[in-house]
Amino acid sequence: MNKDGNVISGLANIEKIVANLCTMKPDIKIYKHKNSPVGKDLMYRLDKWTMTATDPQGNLIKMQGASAHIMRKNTDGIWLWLVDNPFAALFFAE
Amino acid sequence: MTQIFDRTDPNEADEYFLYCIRNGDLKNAMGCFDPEAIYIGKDGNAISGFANIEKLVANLCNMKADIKVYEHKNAPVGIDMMYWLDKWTMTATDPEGNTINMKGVSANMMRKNAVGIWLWLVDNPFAATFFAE
Repeated sequence: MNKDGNVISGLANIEKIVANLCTMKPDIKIYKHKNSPVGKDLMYRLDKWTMTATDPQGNLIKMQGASAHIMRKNTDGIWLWLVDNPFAALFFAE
Repeated sequence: MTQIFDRTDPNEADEYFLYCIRNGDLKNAMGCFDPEAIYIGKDGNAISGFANIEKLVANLCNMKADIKVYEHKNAPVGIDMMYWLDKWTMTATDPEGNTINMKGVSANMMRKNAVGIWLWLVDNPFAATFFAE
């Protein structure tokens, strides 16, 4: 879910957004989080984060936010993002 | 008058849940939860198990709390899950006769059961509390 609250689905579409992040090699830090298991293979996760990065024009970017996520365990037991909503706090603040 | 809700529509599933609470119908309010549901309390801790969740929902049903959702956003996840954000207000009268006015925001998850009815899988009506801390 992006900043304006719209849902982006499909790995190819999500990859474009993650590619932007990876290009900048941002430093994202989680300074608070809470995980709550849901059944055996789902995890509800809230976190608060900060991000510092430098955009392609050389401008420093500093952001912070709060997320409400869902993770799902795959068949090898690895936790994967099922819902990635790093801007949940924006909906709440509106 | 009994209202009819199409609970295969997530919006109406939510409306039905609030209708049950408003009418003090604990049995059917509990029928709105997935067997694996968790409820996140005000302190951010998860409560799981029907019996434990039922105690909380019973409090709401006993007060016949009037909960209104005035803004929400749904996002489907696969074919049987729904990510759900909403903003709500609640007015109720506690057993001592005091008026309760509350508001909050939720970050919830619904899951569709085998007959296509949307049930609460994660009920977190106090998500904003975590974010505000």
